[in-house]
Amino acid sequence: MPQADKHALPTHKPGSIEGTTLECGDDASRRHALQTAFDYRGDVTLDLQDGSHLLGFVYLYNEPGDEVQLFVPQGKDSVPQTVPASRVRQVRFTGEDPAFGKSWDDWTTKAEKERQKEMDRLAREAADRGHL
Amino acid sequence: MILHEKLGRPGSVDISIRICSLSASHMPVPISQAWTVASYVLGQKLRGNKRYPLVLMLEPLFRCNLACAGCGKIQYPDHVLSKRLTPEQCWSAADECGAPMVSIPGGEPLIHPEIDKIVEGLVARKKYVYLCTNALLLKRKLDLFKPTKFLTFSVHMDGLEPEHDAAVCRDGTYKIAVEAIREAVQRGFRVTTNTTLFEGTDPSRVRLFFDEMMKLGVEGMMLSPGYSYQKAPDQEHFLGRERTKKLFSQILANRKRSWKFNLSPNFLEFLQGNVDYECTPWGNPTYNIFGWQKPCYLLQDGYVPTFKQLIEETVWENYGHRSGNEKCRDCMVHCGYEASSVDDTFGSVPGFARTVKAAMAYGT
Repeated sequence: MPQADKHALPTHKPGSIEGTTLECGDDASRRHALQTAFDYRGDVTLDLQDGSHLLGFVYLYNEPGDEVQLFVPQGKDSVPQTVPASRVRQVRFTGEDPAFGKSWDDWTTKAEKERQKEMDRLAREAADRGHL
Repeated sequence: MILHEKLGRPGSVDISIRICSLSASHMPVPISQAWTVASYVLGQKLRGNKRYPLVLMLEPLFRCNLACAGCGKIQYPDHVLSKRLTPEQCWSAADECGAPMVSIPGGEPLIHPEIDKIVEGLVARKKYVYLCTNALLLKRKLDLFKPTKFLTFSVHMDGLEPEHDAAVCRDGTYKIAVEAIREAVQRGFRVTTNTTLFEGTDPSRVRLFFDEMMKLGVEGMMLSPGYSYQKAPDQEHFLGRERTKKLFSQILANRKRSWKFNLSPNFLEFLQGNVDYECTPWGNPTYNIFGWQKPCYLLQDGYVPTFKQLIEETVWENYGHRSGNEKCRDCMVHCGYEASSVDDTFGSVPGFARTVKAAMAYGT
């Protein structure tokens, strides 16, 4: 599936903010939304005031919080891009949350059979990339 | 603010950090390395430089060939996991930072297609490089490297076979790592192990593990407790400071002379509660695809483009055990405190005396 399509899917998972939206109605809500985007481990879509959108991984939202820096996917790579925080109208958590369900506790509470299946899948993926 | 351990393994920061991060000081090491580090630290002291780096934590990628549960380093979108630092970026970071030692964690550094070039350039700069690896690719990639006193493979081993394979969530990993260690040692490479311990660790099993690692002929072993965070949801599994001290005291009681630790002896004293230090977060600065990470290897409060900005713009008073920062309250991790122990060694006559005494006790 093309990355862009994947990110457009509204996939809200209970317990994760994936699939949710935070509005930036005022400075406080904008700071909250962008700080949450910075904490989020997946990609987000920033809907901008001019009606355009920016999809990527927010890796920097520094105080005083006037800029957001993202890695924006381009093909298999991604490139850094900066956007003024004031231009952000809302933040949509459109990318898959790669941290969700991946804690140690999540792992240990899985049934043995399920763990084995996941171990095999992950090993296969690493081998397919030539990393084993 | 992102904590790597936010969804991590109870009692630890996360597994990838454990795999990769144990830093690179200091004994048993070649005399030239000890001399380089000692003269560097003394030089910083003489210049009155209060905040100086000891080990650069260079993360050239986050992609790994393991997927350990709770690992924050691999919890990124695929396009971020696919990003790599170039060799030039790595060398530039090492030059900018100036630390005498460079630890290369990740991700799994041996996945990086130019890791040999990165290491070669760092060695050419006479940096003591600790390449942290899970060793799954080590045997296959050994030919890319030449044995030198400047290069050490620091192999992640979290215990004997059952404990290690469980920790990394893949059966067979221990056996592969042991085989790779044997091969690397046989071919004349410097090899250490790095191990992180958690709540629930059985001290007697760790002692057996030490015996096994020394039998493999490794130069020394690195140890650290996992990262504890006061606000973590599952407190019962976390190694708080008191439990950390108790665990390490049990492990290191009546220690065998055959055990060699690749750590500052004062850090081992610190882990047992025999000496107290404040954190030195600037001691192991971290550089990765996002830039220089504020404030330390474990916390992500943001990034800056230059090392100078990292040192000058970070509000260091906000971090450390005594700062009141809840994220630092229970932390006793090597990347914050080993540099403190090294600083203590060269900071005063009592500090130096403590080091000598501890070194004799640990055979380091």
